[in-house]
Amino acid sequence: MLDPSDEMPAFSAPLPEPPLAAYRAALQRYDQTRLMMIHRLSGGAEVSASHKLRPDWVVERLSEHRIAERLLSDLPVGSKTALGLYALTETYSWSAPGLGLALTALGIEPDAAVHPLLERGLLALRDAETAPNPPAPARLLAHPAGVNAARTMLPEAAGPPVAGPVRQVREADGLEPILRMAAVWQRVAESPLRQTLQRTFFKRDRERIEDDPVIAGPISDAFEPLPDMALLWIELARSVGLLADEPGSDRIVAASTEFWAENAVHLPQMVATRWLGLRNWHELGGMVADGGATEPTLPYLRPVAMLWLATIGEDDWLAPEDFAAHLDTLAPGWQHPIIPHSRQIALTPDHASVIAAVLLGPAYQLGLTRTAEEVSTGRRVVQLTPLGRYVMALGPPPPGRTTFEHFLFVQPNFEIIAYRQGLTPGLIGEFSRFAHWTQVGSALELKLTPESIYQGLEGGLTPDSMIDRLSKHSQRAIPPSVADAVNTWASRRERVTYYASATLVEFANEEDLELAVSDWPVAPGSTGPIRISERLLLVEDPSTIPFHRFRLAGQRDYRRAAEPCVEVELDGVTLALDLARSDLLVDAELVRFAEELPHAETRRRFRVSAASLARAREDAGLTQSSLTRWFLQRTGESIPAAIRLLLYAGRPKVDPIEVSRPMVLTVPDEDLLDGLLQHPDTSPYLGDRLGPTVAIVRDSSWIELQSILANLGLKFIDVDNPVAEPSIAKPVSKPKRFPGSDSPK
Amino acid sequence: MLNPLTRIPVKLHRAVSLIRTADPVLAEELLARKSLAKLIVGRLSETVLLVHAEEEDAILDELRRMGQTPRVAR
Repeated sequence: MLDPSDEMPAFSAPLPEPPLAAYRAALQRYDQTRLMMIHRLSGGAEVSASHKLRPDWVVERLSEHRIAERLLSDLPVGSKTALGLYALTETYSWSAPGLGLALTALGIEPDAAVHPLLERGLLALRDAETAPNPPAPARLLAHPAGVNAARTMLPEAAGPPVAGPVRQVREADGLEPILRMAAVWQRVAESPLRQTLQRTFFKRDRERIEDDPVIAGPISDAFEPLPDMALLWIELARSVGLLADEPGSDRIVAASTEFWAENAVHLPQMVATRWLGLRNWHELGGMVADGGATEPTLPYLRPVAMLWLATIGEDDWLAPEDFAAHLDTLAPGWQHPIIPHSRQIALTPDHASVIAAVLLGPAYQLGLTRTAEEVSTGRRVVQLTPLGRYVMALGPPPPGRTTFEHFLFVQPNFEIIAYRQGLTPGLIGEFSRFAHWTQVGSALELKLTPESIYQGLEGGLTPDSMIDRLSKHSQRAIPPSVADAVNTWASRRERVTYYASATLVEFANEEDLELAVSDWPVAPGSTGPIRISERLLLVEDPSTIPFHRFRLAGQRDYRRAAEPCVEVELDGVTLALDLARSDLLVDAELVRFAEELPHAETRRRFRVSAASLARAREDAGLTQSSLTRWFLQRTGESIPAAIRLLLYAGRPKVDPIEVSRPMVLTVPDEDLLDGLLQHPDTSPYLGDRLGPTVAIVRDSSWIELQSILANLGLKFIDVDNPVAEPSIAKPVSKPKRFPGSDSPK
Repeated sequence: MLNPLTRIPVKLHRAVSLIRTADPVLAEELLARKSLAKLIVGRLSETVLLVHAEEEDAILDELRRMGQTPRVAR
């Protein structure tokens, strides 16, 4: 368990509110006048002034795709461009200053563009919250149907000048983010990341990822560094679903291996789109905490930069210096790191470096841009790649990478050297399932370990399928020792299986179990029920249970709290099991401190004895408090007195119990006994009064009492000796008062 | 012999957490390890041990510390 003081702030995005819910919530704060205007301008049916318009009606009406499309078609280009920014980044919430800056930098007047969208309900304004101090900026929330209907719009204003002829064109393979996210996925699959209540990562988890050179080491083919690289990969992996917040816990866990099969082909586009919409990472400043009064500027300028780059011809190039100067004329102060900001703050004169950080940083690594050197000036210039145009929804899907089949060397020491020219996102996913990434550079290195093989087996691979994949892409035959090791590791894994949530079917007897197994339907490729005892079957997939063959005599869900299912019989030491309500745990619990009695037809019964309790104390560390809890939970009552007695007797130090043989005096009437107990001669010889006419004679005092009774003239009969006649004893001297005897009443 | 058409009475135990070993000797080994034994609620058969679901992390850690490589079925 980590000490909470072990934590330090780290970036972790808050759980997002579903876009439509956020939009609806914003609209619910609108007054009737504004709602009515939206309803009217969006072509809604006439509503009388006395009628109250519900926000939900507006929401539902705009949810119709044709209505959103029609509304958008009538809007000016600036408005279409604004909503196009939402569509391009696949985001539904922009801060008002952020959208304003982006539109200004595209040469569009923000108010003129945004107002028509607000009037028609395609955007909803969520006013600035006053709760955090200073308050967070107002936000413009898009109706998802409007975003779906919007298209990427290129800026219509004159663009920046293009560069002259170039040489030394370079383009990244776009695999770096995929490789590093695959490594993150592997590390998180081995050990999930934990978050604090403030949704920051625990220091230990954060350092584990940040210190991993495969994830956070420098990129070999890079023009601009990526700050906080480990957290950037984590954030991108979360946004595409490669990592996920575990419901009901503080952990971030790895997606199942199916993710790779379903998404690997599209992963470069998915990651690129998420980067375009990533708000809390800054190309120069790294991760920033969100929710404050100011925001980093660059996230809002990312799509702007890409859009301007898209305006130049496919063969043209753009220099960051020219681009920065162009933005200077459109939106002075654009390069300020945060918005809103004071124009008085002195800014770095190197505006081009800010643009270069975007276009030669993540955009280059994601394969969205390529770079070259301008011949005449030696300046670095950029242009969009086919993938870049495709991500901007401005071009066809890019052609597939030219790869070669045999790009692996599998070495006898279980290391695998992979040439990245042979890799694709799909192959990265395939190998990530069972080989550990140990080095990412111009050549890649993976390693087969027992853990990586187990991960592959967990993901549904078999030893043969793993060896086949390696053989298929290896330049040489797989060393026999590697194939042997894979098989050996796989067989070791089968030695212990932990079932986190198995289903057990319990039968009344072995005969029933055999009958059920004999016609249990087993689908090809799946495992049937596993017999674990004479009466129990283990079923891994409960959907395969042929319920039509069974009559449910009871069922128990072990995720729920234990129920009372034990009855204490009158003797206090016999415990009877209610078979309909009992569970497997209670059986195991009972045998720890009780012994099962020979099986009865109707109920199973257990007897608690001094020996069984002694065994439980010795073997299972049973204590009276743990047994008290058990009885309350399982019987609904406290420990019976008989068992408390056994527990008392089993203590290491027990106070002795007094034992004596009392002689009982019975008198004909109550008065007489009152007198004997009161009289000073007789009262010292008498003990407790057992009833109106019965009292105990202290054993050692009988001889003396006989004499005193005789002196008083009282006759007595010894019932243990009935033949003896009533007698009068000889008088004796008066005894001393018996120490500790009761005073006569 | 039961009529094959008769529905067999059963009791269903859902969401049970278990450890199953390949052989009884291995189950004995697990039970002999004190740190693991205290996490085991009971033994259902020679090769199946009943555990509490909330002890999953501790049990898996302990198994790995013993050099075992448990398959986790969810």
